[in-house]
Amino acid sequence: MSSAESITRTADESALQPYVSSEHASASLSRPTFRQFVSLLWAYPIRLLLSVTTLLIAMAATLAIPRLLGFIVDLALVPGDGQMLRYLGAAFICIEGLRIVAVVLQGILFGRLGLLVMHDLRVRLLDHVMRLRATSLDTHSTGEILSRITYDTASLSQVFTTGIVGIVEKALVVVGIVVVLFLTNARLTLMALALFPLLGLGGVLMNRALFKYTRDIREKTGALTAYVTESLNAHRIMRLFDLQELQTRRFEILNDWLSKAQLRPQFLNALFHPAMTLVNATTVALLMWIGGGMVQRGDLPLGVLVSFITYILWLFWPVMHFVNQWNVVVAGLAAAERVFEVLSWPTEEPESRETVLAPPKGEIVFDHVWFAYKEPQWVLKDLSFTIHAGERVGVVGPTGAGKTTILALMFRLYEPQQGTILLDGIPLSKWPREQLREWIALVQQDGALFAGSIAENVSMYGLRPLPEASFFDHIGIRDLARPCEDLSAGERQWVLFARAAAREPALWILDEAAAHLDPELDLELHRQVGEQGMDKTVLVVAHRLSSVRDLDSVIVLHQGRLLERGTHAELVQAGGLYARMVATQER
Amino acid sequence: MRIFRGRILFGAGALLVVNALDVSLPLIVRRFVDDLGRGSTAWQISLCAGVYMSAAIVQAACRFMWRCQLPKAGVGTHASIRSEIARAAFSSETAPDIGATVSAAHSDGDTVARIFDMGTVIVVDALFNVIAIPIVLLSLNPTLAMLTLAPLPFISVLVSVLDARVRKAHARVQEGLSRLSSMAESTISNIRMVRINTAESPFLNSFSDESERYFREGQGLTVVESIYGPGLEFFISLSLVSLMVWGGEAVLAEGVTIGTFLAFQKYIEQLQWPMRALALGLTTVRKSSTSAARIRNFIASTKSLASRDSIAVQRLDDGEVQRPIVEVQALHVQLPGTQQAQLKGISFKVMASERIAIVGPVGSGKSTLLWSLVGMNTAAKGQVSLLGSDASSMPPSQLHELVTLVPQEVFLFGLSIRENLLFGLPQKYSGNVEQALRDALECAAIREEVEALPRGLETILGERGLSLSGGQRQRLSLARALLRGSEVLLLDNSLSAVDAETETLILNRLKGLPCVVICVTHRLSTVTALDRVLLFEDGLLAQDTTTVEMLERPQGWLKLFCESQRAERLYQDFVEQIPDE
Repeated sequence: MSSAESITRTADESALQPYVSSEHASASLSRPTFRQFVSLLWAYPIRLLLSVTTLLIAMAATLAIPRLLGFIVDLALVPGDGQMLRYLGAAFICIEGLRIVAVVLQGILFGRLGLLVMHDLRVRLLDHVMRLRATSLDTHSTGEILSRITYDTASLSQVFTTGIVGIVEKALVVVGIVVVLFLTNARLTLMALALFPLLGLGGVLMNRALFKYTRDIREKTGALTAYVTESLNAHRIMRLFDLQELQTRRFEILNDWLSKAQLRPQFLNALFHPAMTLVNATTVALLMWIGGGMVQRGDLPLGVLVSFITYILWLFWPVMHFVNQWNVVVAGLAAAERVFEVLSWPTEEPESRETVLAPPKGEIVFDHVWFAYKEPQWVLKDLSFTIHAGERVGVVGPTGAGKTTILALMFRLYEPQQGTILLDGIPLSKWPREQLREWIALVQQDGALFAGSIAENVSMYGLRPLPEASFFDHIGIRDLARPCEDLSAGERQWVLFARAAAREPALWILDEAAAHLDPELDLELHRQVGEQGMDKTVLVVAHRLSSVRDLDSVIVLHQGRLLERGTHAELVQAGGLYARMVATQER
Repeated sequence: MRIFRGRILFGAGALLVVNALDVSLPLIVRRFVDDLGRGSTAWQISLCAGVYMSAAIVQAACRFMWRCQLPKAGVGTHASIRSEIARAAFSSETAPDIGATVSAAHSDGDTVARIFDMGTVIVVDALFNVIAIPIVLLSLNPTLAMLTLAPLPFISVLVSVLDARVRKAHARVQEGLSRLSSMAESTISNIRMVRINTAESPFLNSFSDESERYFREGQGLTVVESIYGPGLEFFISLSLVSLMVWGGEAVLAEGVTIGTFLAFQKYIEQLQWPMRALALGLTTVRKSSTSAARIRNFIASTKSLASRDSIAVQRLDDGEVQRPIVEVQALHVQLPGTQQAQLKGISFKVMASERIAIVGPVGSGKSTLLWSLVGMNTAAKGQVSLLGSDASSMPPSQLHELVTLVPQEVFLFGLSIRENLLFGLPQKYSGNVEQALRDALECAAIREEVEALPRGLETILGERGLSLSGGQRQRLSLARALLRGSEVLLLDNSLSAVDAETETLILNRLKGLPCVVICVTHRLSTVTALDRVLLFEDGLLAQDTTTVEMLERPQGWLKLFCESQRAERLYQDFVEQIPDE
C-alpha cells in the first residue's frame, strides 16, 4: 500500500463497520409474549396433560434409582439378605424399565405438541400476513416477514423439544433430589448443598455472558457472509478496478473478528466447566470426610452415605444441562417475540357493516382524491373524474403520473387520505373487499403468474371455472396442464387475460395489457374484451396511443392531476399534450 | 489449511490426564467404602477425602487446559479454511456461486475443523476409556467384568444405526423447512396479486398442507431422537441389572466387596460416553472427509487468473491526437453453450480524442464487445491493441489502468460514498485525493447532490443507509470510473436513467478529458453528443459513420432509430414544459 493511500483511504477496520449490524434482542421475556406462548399450549389440554404426566413419571423413576442403590447396600448387602437382594433387584428392573418407557414417551409427546403448536402458529401468521394493511407490507421486507414465519417459528419449536422440557425436567430432578436428600438426612443435605449456590450463581453469570457472546458470533458471521456475498456480487467490478488484494485483506480482518468472537465463549466454557466440577468434587470430598466420620461413629448407615454421594455426582449434570439449555430457551424466546410481533401489525380495516352485495353497474367517481404512499409525497393531488357505467375510457400520461396508483385504490389495496372514490354512487369503503376484487378484472403488463399449471393459474387453483379450450387457440396452447414457467411473454399475457376473464367481472381494467403481445394478438385481446365486456365499464391504461384512440374517452394524467379529458377527436382538436403525443407517434 | 499440531498434542495430553483421573476416582471411593465397612480410622477417612480432593484439583486444571487449547486449534483451522476459500473465490476469473462459497466456508469448513477439536476429544476419550476401564474392571473381578461389560458394545452399534437415521431425518426436516419457506416466499412476495385475485384461501390452504407435511417430518425426527438417548440408557441399565443380580450375589457370597460393587456401578455409567464416542468418531471422520472433498472441489472449480509481468506502454500525452488508441482486428466471440456467435469478426480503429457511439438492436453484440475490450471475455478471439500494444499480453492490473468500463448494472457497496469512490482510484495514485474526488463528482454532475447530504461523502449507501435513485447511482458509478484516469472509457448504457439534459452535460464535460469515450446507447440524444457512430447488427459492424452524416442521411436501422427517438424526445420536451404545480 502506498503512503498516499494509507493516508486518504479510511482504515480498513472502520471501513468494514457497516457490515456489522447490531441487534438488541433482550434476554428477558415480556409478559404479553409469555401469555401468548401459554395460550398456544392451552389449545391442546389433553396432550399437555399427557406430556406432563409422562414427564413426572420419568422423573420419579429417575429419582428412585440412587435411593434404591442405597437400599440394596443397607438392606441386602450389609446384612447379607439374599431374598431382599432379589426383591430389590426386581424392583430395580421394573423402575428402570418404567423410566426408559416414560422418557421415550415424554420426548415424543412434547415434541409432537411443540410441532403441532408451531404448525398452528405458522398458519395463523400467514393468514394474518395475508390480511395485513398494504402500508405494513411496504415497511417490512418479504425477507423479514419470511424469516419470522419460518425460521423464527422453527427456533421457537426447539424451545419445546429440548429447551423448556429439558429445563423443567432438570429443574424438577434437582428439586426432587434435594427433597429426597432432606428426607433421608437433613444435616448431611445442608452440608452437601452448601456449595451449590455457587454452581447456580456461576450458571447465571455464565449465561449472561454467553448470551452476549452468541449474539456477537451471529453478528460477526453475518458480517462475514454479507461481505462475501457483496464481494462476489461485485466480482466484475472488483476485477475491473483491480481490487482483489484489498478485498482479501479486508476479508482477513472480518475473518479474524469472527475467530476472536468464536473463541470468547470457548474460554468462558474452559473456565466455567472445570470450576463447576471442582465445586462438585469438593462436595464429594466433604461428604467423604464428614459423612465417613458419621458412619464410623454409627450415626449414619453406609448405604445412605453411598446414595448421597451418588446423588451429588448426579446433581451436577442437571445443573450443567440447565446452563446449556438456557441459551436455547433464550434464543427461542427472542424468536417468540419476533413472531408475536407480526400478529400485532395492523390488518386491513374491518369491513363496514352496511355492505353492498349486488354486482355494480360500473360507474366510477373520483371525488377530490388525495393520496400518498408516504405523506407528504402526494401521488394523487385533488384528482376528480367520473367514468359512466359502460363507458370505455383510456388513461394515459407519463411515468409517475399516478396511473398505477389509481388501480391500487380501486382494488382497495390502499385507502385515500382525503376525498372519496365512489362505485355506483356508493363509497368504495362500503363495498366488501373480496367482492369488489372479484368484480374487477385486471390484466397487467407484468402481472405475476403463480407456481403451477396454466389451468391452476387461470382457475386460481380451482376457485373459478376454466374458460373453453378454444380460448387458448390464439396462442396455440392445447395442454392446460403445462407449467407456466416456460411460457413466452406473449403467452403469459394471454394466461393473465384468461385468469381475469374467468371471474365474470363487472368492470375491466387493462394495464399496459398489450405490451408483450404482437399486434395481431393485441387486436384479438381487445376484441375479446369488447365481447366479454359488452356494456361493461372498461379502463385501459396504455402507452401505445393506438390502443386508446377508439375508446369513448381518454383521461390524460400528469403528476397526479387531471390534465385533459375528452374523446380522441376532441383532444386532438384541443392541441394539448395528447395532441402532441399523437402527432409525434403518427409522424 | 493450517493445523495447530502443538495445541492439539498439548490438549490431548491434558485430556489424557483428565481421563486417567476419571478412571482412578471411583477406585478412591471404593477404597473409602471398603475401609468404612471394615471400620476405618479417622486418618484413613481424611486420607481418602484428601486424595479425592487433590485428584479433583489436578483434573480441573487439566480440564481448563484442554478446553483452552483444543477450541483454539479448531477455530484457528476453520479460520484458515475460510481464508483459503475466500482467496480462491476472490481471485477467480469468474465469480463462483455465492451459496456454494458461503456454505463451503461456513458449514463445510466447520465440519472439517471439528476433526481437530471434537475429533481429538472423541478419539482420546473413546480409546482411553474403552481400554482402561475394562482393564480395571477385569482386575477387580473378571467374572463380574465379563457379565457387566457384555451389553455395552451394543451402544456403539445402536449409535451408528440411530445416528444415520437422525441425520437422515434431520436432512428431511431441513428440506421441508426450505420447501415451506420458498412457498411462503412466493406467497408473500406476490401478496398484492393474491389479493387482487381474491386467491387467499388456496394459498393459505397449500401453505397449511405443506406446513402439515413439515409437521409430520418433524415428528419423524422427534421419534428417532426420543428413542436415541433412552435407547443408550437401556444398555447401561442391562449392564446395571446384571451387576445387581450377579454382583449382589457375589457380595453376599463374600467374593466382592461393597466398594467394588459401587465402583462397578460408577464405571458402567462412565463407559456410556466412550461407547457413544466410538460410534460418533466414525461418523465424524466420514462427514469431515465429505466436507473436505467439497472444499477441495470448490477451490479446484475456481480458475485463478494467470499473473503476468507488466509490459512497457507509452501512455497518452495531452495533444497527441493522431495516435491510434484502440485497434480491434477480426474480433470473434462465441460464448460456450450458444448456437450463434455474438461477434462475427469485428474490426475498427479509434484515434485519440475520438468519441464513439455504438448503437444497434438488442443482442447485436454491443456489450460483448465492451467486455472483450477489458479482457474479461474468455471466449474472445482476435486482436485488441491498446496504445499500440497487444492487450492480451498485459496483466489485468495494467490493462484495467488503461481501460475502464462502466457496466450497465450499477454496483455500489454498502459503504460510504467516499469508500465507493476510492475503489476507483489507482493503487499508486500520488496526487491530491480530495481534489480528485471533487473533480470526478463534478464531471459526473453529482457533486452538488453529494455535498448537500448531511454527512456528505461519508454517507453510507445501501440497505442500511441511503438509497439513491437510479440516475444518482449511475452518476456515482461514472465518477468512480473517472477516478481511474484511464485512456479509454467504456460506457455500457451507463447513463440510461439520467435525464437527457444532464447526460448531454456530462458527455460534454467528458470531451475535456484526455481519453477516448466509447458509449453503447439506445438514445439519440447521446449519439448526437458524440462524434462517430458504429452500428452493430447481428454481431457484425453494419455501419461506421459520423454523427453529422447519420443525422442528415440516416440509412437502414439508423433511420428507424432516429425516427422513434425523435418522437420520444418531442414527447419528453413537452412534458418538461408543463409547470409542476
